[in-house]
Amino acid sequence: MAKILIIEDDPFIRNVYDKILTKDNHRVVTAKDGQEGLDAAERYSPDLIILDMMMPVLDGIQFLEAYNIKEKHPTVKVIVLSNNMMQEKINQAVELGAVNYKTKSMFSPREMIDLVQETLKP
Amino acid sequence: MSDAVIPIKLADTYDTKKVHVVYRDAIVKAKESRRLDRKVYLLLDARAFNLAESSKEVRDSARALTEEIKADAVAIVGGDRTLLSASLILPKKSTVPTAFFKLEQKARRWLLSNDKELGSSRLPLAFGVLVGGIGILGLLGWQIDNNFLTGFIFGLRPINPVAAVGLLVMAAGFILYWKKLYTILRIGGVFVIALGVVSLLSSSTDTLLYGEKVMRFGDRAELADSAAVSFILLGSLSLVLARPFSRSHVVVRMLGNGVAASVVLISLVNVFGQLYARDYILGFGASFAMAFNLALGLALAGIGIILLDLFRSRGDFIARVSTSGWILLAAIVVLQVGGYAIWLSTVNRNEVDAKQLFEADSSRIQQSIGTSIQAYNDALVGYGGLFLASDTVTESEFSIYNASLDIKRRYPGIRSFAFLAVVKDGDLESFAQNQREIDPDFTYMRLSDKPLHFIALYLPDTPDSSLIGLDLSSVQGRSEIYSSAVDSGTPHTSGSIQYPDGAVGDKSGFFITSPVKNKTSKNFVGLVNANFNYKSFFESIVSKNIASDDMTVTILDPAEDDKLLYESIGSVSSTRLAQNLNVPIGDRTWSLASSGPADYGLSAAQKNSPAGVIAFSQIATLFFLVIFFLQASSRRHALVIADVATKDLQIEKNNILELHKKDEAILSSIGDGVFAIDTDKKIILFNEAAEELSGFKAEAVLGKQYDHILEFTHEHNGAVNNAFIVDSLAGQKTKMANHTNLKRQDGILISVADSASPILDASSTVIGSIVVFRDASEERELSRRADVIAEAKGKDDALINAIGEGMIVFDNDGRIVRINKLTTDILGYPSDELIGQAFVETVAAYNLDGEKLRAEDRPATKINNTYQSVNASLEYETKTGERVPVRISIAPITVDGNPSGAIALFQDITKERELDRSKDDFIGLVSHQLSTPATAVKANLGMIVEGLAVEPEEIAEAVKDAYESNERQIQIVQDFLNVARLENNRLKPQLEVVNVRNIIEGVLKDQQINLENRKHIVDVSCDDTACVTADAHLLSFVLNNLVSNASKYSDEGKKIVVEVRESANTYHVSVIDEGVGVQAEDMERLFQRFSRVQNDLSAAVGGTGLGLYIAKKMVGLMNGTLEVRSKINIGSRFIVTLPKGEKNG
Repeated sequence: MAKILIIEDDPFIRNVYDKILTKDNHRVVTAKDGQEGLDAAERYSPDLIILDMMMPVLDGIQFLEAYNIKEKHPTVKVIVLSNNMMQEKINQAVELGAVNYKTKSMFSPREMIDLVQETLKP
Repeated sequence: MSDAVIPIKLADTYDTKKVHVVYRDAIVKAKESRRLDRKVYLLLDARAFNLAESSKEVRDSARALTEEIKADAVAIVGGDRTLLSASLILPKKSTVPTAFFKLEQKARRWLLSNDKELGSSRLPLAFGVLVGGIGILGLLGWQIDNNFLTGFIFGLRPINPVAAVGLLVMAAGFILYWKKLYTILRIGGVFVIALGVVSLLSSSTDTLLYGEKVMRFGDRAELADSAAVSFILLGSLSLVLARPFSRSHVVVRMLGNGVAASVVLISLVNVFGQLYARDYILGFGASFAMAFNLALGLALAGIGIILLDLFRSRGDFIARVSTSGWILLAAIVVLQVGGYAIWLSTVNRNEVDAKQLFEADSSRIQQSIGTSIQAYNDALVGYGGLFLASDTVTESEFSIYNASLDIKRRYPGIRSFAFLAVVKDGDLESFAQNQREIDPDFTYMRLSDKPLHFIALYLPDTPDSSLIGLDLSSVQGRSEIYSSAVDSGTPHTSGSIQYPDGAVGDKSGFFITSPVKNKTSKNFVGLVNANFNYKSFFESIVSKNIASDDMTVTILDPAEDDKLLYESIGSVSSTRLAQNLNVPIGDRTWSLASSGPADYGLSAAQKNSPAGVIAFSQIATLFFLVIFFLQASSRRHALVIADVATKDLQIEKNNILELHKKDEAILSSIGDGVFAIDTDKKIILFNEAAEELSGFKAEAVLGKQYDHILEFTHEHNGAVNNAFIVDSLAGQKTKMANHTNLKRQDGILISVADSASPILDASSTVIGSIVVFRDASEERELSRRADVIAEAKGKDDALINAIGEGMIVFDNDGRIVRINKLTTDILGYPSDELIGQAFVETVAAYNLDGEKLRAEDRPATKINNTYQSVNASLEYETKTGERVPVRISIAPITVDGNPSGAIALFQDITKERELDRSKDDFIGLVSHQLSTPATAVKANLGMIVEGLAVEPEEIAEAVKDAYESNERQIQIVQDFLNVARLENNRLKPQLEVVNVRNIIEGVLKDQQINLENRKHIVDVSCDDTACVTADAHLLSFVLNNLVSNASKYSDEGKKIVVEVRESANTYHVSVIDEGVGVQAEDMERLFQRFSRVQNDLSAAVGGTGLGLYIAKKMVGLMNGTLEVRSKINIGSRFIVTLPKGEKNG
């Protein structure tokens, strides 16, 4: 069981991810944009963050820059999810400390659970 | 034109035309030279010229030439025969120095060494006139026997007539020098030398002229040796100086001036000597002392020669003498003449005064002697009275009386009074007896046996008592006088006697004796003598009566064979004054001779006054001379400075003249006719084109009034049209006159266009006018052609500018030859910054990756290397630094198969690229928009499929969520389809009358679930009857969209109002929310495609960014408008305005 923060602008996806990961017994917190996610991340100190890239206010990259994994939150794992993932953005995200990335529409709920569990392994 | 010598070959074989050409060149050259202030020297080469054989025209033109070229000197080169003939065509103006040479080189040298200043000086003329005048006056004097003219001053020696001729020859020499006739001058010089030599050798030359008259004057009229020597020296100098243009050696010059100066010195010594010290000068003898006027003439000649030499070395210093300088010189002359006159009058007055004084003194001496003698006689009468008063006068009585006379004081010069007793020979003893009663020691000596004895008895003034009793009857000369006195009873004066006593040299004297009677006796009892020494007697008188001891006085006794009685020698040996007077003394007469110097009796001041006059006049002269030279030197200094300044000005003037010449050259070369006139309307310039156009020749019109030559008339009415020239002379700016005709010399009228401009000097004063005119017919033709070309060019330009692409034409070097307007629009450069420039250097280019292209990679460069068409896409940097993407197509231009640059056409593909990008964006957006709900569908269904949702509620929820997401997906697809339809105009609205309320209600029903979920309160304000003309489906779609947005962008529970307002022809359907609002700057983008405005809720609401775009398009299709008004955080109002439906009509 881990604390997971889902940052996703689309309410349907956010909702269904929440349900899937809750089913896997994680404590899930959601945020609908980067800024809200940043506040939540500071407040809840999640073990893992599932981060959408295309978001209003602060997008995924901006969030990562502000969050500063490498300096301030070295233990936090971040999985980047997007439907329209450009290699450039992926590289940028990895550079900023994201450990994994996936195309949202390409995996099922079970795969999602596996991905989270795998990522959380020490 | 450094060489001022203008050589002209005279030839008798020339045809006149050729001669004219040669001469014309020469005249032009001369004029140029003169204009540049250079001297003009004419070198006539007459070697091939023979007057006898030459035609009259040639002769005439040659003469005209030499007259026209106002040469400063003319040299003629040729043989003896030709010289003679050529000299006949020389200019008649004799002031021009002329010389003949056999060699051209010598002629040229002579010309170049010619000295203009000397040539123009009248100095030699002046001296010629002065010297000649003296000679002529002298000769005239001899002719008319006028002593004044021959000698100039009365009493002076006259000029020798031959010497006067010598002066005339020298005067002629000066004038010849002035005329530059040096050869004849030399002959004159030889003559003068010969004259001098002959005069020295034999004196017979002196009487060659006016022989008899000259003889009368004896040696006074001879030609003095000093004058002869002077003639020789001056004649020799004239030979030396007769080479005026050769640069003599300085030693020769100094020597020459020294010789001249010595002649001047000798002459001046004579001049002044004759004036002031004639005796002294004459003392030198006839060989030295020359006539005053001759000396003056020779001095002037010498001075003239020195001045001429100075003139040659120093230039025209005479011209530099200032007015005050001349006044000083005049003052010097006045001083000399006036000084002499005053001196003369002073000398004369002194002579008269001295003579008067002298004569007065002489006669006073004469009278004084007489008066003295009379006084003694009177004293003797007194003694007579004494004796007559008693019978016997004792010695003491005599002595007392004598003492009472105070003779030493009252009778100066007297030796003594003495009483002699007259005793008859027989009475001697009784006389002695009587005397012994008075003086027992009395004795006498009978020294003669004459009947009367004169016994010295009373001698009060004689200390020697031994004389008492002396019988004087024996003394030769005395007894006769005593006897005569006694006989006649009157006083008698003696001749010279010697006193036995007295000082040496003063024993000589005389006496006056007077007989005396006693009371009773009627006979003379004795004689009383007054004895005198000559020396003391005369000295006491002379010393009292002469004013000056300069006088020599001599007194002689004619009765004693002019025995010298007395002489007083004056202190001055030179005696000019003398007088002889008789002095009667009783019965005798003495002769008084006096002599004295010329200035006898004058005071020292009077004596010195003539010398003072001389001193004053000469010192004043010297003073004036010093002032003159000081002034001349300071003036010279000033002149040097002025010369420097003048030279500068000259240089400047020359520069200006050169410039002027250039201007003239330019004016002459102008293709248009140009002529210039001065303010007198006289033509001063007439260029070649003017000659051609008008048919008049420049030489024919120059200097003439233009309006007498050139007829400018109106094209239409033929009236004179000179106004433009007249106005320009009045100072008006350029005046143009069109439609003017000019009458050519041949009478043909030509159409001209002309203009006139005033010529202004530095002070903007009009000094003339310059008129430019040209053949206007040609111009009109040209202008017509120009119109055609301009028209063609205009068409061409229009064509090029009409090209919808940028067009650049390059030459072979890649320089821009031509561009169209679009090029300047795209690149931002004005055409003048592009035309003629190398394109690749002016406009930078980048490839599509943003890298700057090197010049060699630029299509414009490549094309000139390969001559192959190039197509490329790149970006140009505009002038403002922006980059414009273009597609360029560049192709070589060939003319007759030769490459002749290239033409490039390029398009601004900014819009294309934007479109491409927006397509890319669109695809990205569409895929994102579609994949997001698809992801949600997959995840929800996946939960069921993978057994994560197992509870029935969970399954139901997942299915519902999947369904909704699917719904969204469909909506998105519909949106895209609508957009596609709208953009392809495939959406055709079915316009009909639609009841707005029905539509609104339908929309709210569609949205009911959503609105209730978000707890919105919806107010609808709408008339039931409100109808619009619209497509019901489209209107529903639009309002759905607006209500959905109002919900999405408002917080839960906020009020939403749908309001319909009626206006004249329209209904305004507004959807009003209390949501986040729209930023002012986002208003514009709001209705654009894919433009979702960022705000707090936009993340939550999702959306394609197409809704409002579609809505606006749809409203537009229904002839309506969609507008928005919004305030941030207060809310928005979207207003659909549609035309009213007919039912409400």
